[in-house]
Amino acid sequence: MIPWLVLACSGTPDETSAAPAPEPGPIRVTLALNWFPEPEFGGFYEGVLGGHYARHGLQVEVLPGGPGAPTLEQLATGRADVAISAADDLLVKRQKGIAAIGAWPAFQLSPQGLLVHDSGPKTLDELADGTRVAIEVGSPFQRFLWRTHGWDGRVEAVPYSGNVGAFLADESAVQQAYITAEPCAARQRGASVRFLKGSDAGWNPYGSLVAFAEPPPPWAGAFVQATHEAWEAYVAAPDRGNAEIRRLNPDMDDDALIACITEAQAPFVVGSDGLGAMTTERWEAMASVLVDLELVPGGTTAAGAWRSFR
Amino acid sequence: MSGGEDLVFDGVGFGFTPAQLVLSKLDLRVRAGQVVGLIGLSGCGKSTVLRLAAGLLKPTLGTVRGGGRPRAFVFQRPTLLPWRTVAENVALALELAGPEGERADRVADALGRVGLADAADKLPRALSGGMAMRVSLARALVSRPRLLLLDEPFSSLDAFTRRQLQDEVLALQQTLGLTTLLVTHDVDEAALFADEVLVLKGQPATIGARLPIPLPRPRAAAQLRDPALAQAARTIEAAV
Amino acid sequence: MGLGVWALAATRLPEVLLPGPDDVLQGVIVHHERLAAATWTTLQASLGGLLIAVVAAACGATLFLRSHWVEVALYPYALLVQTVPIVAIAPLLVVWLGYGLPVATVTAGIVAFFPLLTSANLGLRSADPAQLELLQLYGASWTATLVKLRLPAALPFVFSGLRTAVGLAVIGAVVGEFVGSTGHPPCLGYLVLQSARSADTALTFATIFVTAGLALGLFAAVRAAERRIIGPWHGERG
Repeated sequence: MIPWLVLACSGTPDETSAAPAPEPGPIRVTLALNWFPEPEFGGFYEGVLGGHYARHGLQVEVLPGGPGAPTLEQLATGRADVAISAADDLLVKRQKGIAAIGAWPAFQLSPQGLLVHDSGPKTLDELADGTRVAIEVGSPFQRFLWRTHGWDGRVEAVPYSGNVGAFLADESAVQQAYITAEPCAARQRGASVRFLKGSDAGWNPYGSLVAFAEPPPPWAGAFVQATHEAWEAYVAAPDRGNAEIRRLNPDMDDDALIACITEAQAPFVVGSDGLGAMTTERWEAMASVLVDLELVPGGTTAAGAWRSFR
Repeated sequence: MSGGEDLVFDGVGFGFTPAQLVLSKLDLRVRAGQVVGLIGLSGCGKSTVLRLAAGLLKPTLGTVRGGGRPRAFVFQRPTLLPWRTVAENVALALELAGPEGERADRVADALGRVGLADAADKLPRALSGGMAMRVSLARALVSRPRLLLLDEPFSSLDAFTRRQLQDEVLALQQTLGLTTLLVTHDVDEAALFADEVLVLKGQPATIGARLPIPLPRPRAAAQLRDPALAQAARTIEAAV
Repeated sequence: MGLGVWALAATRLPEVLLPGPDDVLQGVIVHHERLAAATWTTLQASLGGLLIAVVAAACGATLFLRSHWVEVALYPYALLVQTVPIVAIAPLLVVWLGYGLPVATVTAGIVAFFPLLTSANLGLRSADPAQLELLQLYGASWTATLVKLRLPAALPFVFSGLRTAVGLAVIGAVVGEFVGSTGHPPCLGYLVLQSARSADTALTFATIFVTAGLALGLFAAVRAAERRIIGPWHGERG
């Protein structure tokens, strides 16, 4: 969760990208994921296994992440060539000195939200005073929810330990969730749950966002093109990508679970603007939300934070 | 003066089991008001005899009786509790078994007898070896013992302090008429103090010789240079 | 000189990776009220846990002294308390105790317990055999021997264990707060989580420094108490 000591010792960020100058043979690229191997990254694995990256002259090594994975920091210190992040994280970190640029989102709709039992509130507005929500305290999403719903002093944010067990044991429990994980896991354990979408409440950063260091490497366009093709293939036929995920992550090695997740995430991936789209309106909306939350200095815009590479 | 009883060991044996005795067939008697010296080579069991006399150990065979109560024991080292002042160390005996009301007076009395009235509030770490030993003595005396048991009490002191303390203990024993059993490895000391010297020897150990010391009382450490005492000492030595 | 190296390194790295000493100091000043309130809460948890640990260790060591069978039977459990990672126990504690101060107090106590038990154990058995004989001679009961001899003799050892235990108690409290705190009242663990997740690295560092300061403060307090209580009769001569 707190990565600086490790990364601070690893050296200073470099002006030039970590990729070598063009030469015969594929360009080696490391891609850092910001969570464990799960269907939310399915297209990237499909990209490697389905030869999409190879076709564009890239040899991609996927580095799995986990809780608090510092992918943008790894990008900044040259530990990774490509980072998976999210639009909100990117905008905040840019203001903190990380020179990164957003290139391509796998998720049109933010996969973040809150998980409640069926017997619980039907919308975020229905959360009663005195409710306890298990969530990453201090995160932009947490701050957003509290600010927009006036929950300060009325709803408590407690640290989220990732323990679905505690949630399952308590009918009144409310916790943060990603559509790609907790809802399916809970249903698999027999619970009837409801996922309250962050995007419905106005929290909609682009998710599983590909980011490069600034200035972007010469192969950035090829990478984005290959990624787009790979995700198109994955959406149509997820089995190959999922097989790799099941191999790498024993928690995912269950037919029903992985099918549930792949199906649940599909509408979030494609959204209404279509796979991989990015608009100025969406980016600027995110920037202004962050300004409201005082997570970035007043007047910050998304200009220069993202670019279309296709 | 003290009206005490004789301390009697009757056929005493001591060991882990009756078959493995370190002391055996021990018969001794310390008459009331008398001093008996117990001498022998290192490790032969002298301290064990003293602990049997004190009731710290129970005999495996035979009986130990008499000697009077309370019993006072002076160890080889002062064994003061470092967190207690001199006065508090002396008072310890009374805290555990003695009248509360008289405590302060008896402590002051005991300290006076050993010449440490001014040191009452000092902590043990501030005391010299001789002073600490005196505190140990005062502690022994504060309970108004009938039986005084001494385990080589002067062996850790330098020669000069040893002389001083020998004199003081002699004087106290004579004044208070304490029934006394003194364990020592120093033949001169044994001759100086005792009315009778018992030599402990053998394996298992037993009384190998009983030597009366008919030197007149009162005695003083100065007599250590006395030919008569030296003679007695040589006799003891021969018997060891 | 350490500050110089730190400041220099910080200029070459993004603030979110390594804030400089000036940023951290700024963080402390700007957020001093929150930091003070948070320190107070964590202090309460640490001291509460320490108290529990001291009492439990004292009882445990005394029981072990009294009965060898009890010692043999219970020692494995004492060891278990030491070896199970707090991060794993903490969620269970939240289920039993709810969110808030109790969880951090218990985790602080758990971490501080074993060093205190060990030093109490050692201390109670450290009495000079001659002193034990002395008390036996006076016919002192087991309890009297415990109170008048073993306990005072154990103090130097207990203080030694306490010096270690206070730092551990603070760590234990903070870890407990990582899992079971609500932010109201503010506490250092929650603040670390919150500031880190908000990418406010200067505040995160500031909180960590304050936490270390708390541990050091408690350590100094133990030292001072040690000097007052056993100083007169224990340790190097002045």
